[in-house]
Amino acid sequence: MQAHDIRVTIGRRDILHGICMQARAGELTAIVGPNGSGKSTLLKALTAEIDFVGQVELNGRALTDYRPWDLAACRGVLQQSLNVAFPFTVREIVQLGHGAGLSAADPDIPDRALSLVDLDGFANRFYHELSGGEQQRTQLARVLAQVWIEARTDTPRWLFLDEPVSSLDIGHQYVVMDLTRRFTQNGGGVIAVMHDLNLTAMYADHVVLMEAGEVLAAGTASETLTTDLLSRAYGCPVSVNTPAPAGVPFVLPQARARSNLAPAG
Amino acid sequence: MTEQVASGRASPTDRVRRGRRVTAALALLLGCTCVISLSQGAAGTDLWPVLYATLTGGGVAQMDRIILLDIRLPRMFMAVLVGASLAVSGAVMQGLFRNPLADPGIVGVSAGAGLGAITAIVLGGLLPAVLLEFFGSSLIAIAAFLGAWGATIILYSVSTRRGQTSVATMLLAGIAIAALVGAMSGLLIYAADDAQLRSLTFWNLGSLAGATWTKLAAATPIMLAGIAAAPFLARGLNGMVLGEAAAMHMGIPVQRIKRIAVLSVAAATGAAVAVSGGIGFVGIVVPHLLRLATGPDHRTLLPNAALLGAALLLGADMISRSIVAPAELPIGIVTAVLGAPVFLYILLRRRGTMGV
Repeated sequence: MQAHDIRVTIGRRDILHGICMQARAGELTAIVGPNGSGKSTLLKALTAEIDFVGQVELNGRALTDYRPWDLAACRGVLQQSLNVAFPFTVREIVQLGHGAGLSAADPDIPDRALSLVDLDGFANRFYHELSGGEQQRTQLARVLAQVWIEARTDTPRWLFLDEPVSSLDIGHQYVVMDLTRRFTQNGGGVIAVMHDLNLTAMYADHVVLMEAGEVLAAGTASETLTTDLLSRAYGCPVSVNTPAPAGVPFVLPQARARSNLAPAG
Repeated sequence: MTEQVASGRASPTDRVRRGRRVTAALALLLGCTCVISLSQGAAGTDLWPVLYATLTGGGVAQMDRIILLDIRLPRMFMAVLVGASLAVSGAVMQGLFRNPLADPGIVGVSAGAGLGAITAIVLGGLLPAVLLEFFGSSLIAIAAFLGAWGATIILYSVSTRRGQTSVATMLLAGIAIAALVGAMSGLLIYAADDAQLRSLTFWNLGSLAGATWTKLAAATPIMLAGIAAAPFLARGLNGMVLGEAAAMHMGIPVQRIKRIAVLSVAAATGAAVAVSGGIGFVGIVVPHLLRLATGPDHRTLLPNAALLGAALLLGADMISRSIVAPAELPIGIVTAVLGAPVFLYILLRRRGTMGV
């Protein structure tokens, strides 16, 4: 996935000033940055949800050359929050995505996708009666059923996720992040807007750090999640430690440095 | 595996299967209603002796033949087509606006169709004779279609921002459109001459009493076109339940679906209003009942809405013909009595979530 010189103007405000970035299949690319830095806007531009100036290529083909259903077959998009207008059940929601993908012929996928996001037994519940976190996982299951995690295709498939763990408890955050890793291990590419820098450090292969509509830094987690860069991006003192065993950065805002959140195991 | 069974694989598959069973039941219901409506009427002509006489080659009184073939039969077809049109366009519109309260009668689309029809009656004479001859009796139906189309487009562009529809804005915009359109209609009626006023009054009273083969022939193609578009919209409308952006990400050509949906609503509502005046609430009651019974999936909802809408309007027509026989109660009164409580019920249930 290649994006070149992406510019977005909403109203009279320039949100993105010429973003260039790339993401590779088989990797999780995380987009991080403070509120209002343009993370979600960038993701919306990359998925052609909003108008933008610039070029986006997916699998070597310009986004504008795809027909809607071809695009849906090779990439799924999870948006931040979704209202469902009518009383659909959880399984019916997942089936909406399933029917749009390449694996639509396999009728077991919706239930397997629900099982992956730890929603066994929820299939016949009404979507609007679920909690926020359960709704978010239902939507993830819908997207997973669209670009099925186990499917092998010649061209890589992509997941675009806008804060996929924002409403989830810590256990389900790991469930979801493990799923994205499995997706990349099966040859797919994941581009996720992330809020939690620790999760980003643990899971991201490539990090794009944004600030005020521009890319401040891009590279591996150890290259981008540094004391200097993060303090500059977030405008508050941040210290980054690198614990020995896993070799990944561990981030906490310095002002509230109570390190009782150490990752288990 | 056992877990999947335990989680009750039954229900949603059931909703699809139940949807099909309901389709069969509704088709049967519609058939029965058709037969009853043919055999019942103020003139007291009974269907069966006439049918028997026709089949055995016996003589049929001229009077009975006229009552059956030229009065009851076109009226039956008219009720079926108008009922199906109103119910389907209600269901399509609710899918398009992602809102169970969107009904062509409530949000000004029928009023737009009415303005079109009135314009055709009052100003139609100003058209070149060639055009008049070409359109013939379809002119009113086509004008009503154009009026409904314009109203729907205005309504959609006012109430939808970035693919999300605001319920409050939609209902208020509907009121504004209906008021504006009503004013323009009033202006035209003011300008109309005596002969035009007569046909306006006749049209305005609407109901299905004026059903003739000529009227039917003029409006049927437009109504059928609107209804026939619905099956192609079902999958797209299902996707749009999650919003336009999510639908786009699921490969649905959102702009095309919206355009076809608006055209289909305008055609079905416009032609129905042109031949029957304003019959309200069919478009809101029928989809609502079906969603309760078989769920909101448009693939079953739309065909079932056509069948139930047809049966309901035929039933309402029988009530309107028999309750004060030999006079007739306007059918709009019957549908409003049935429909307004349902509308209020939905409104009350959604009170907290409407932002008003």
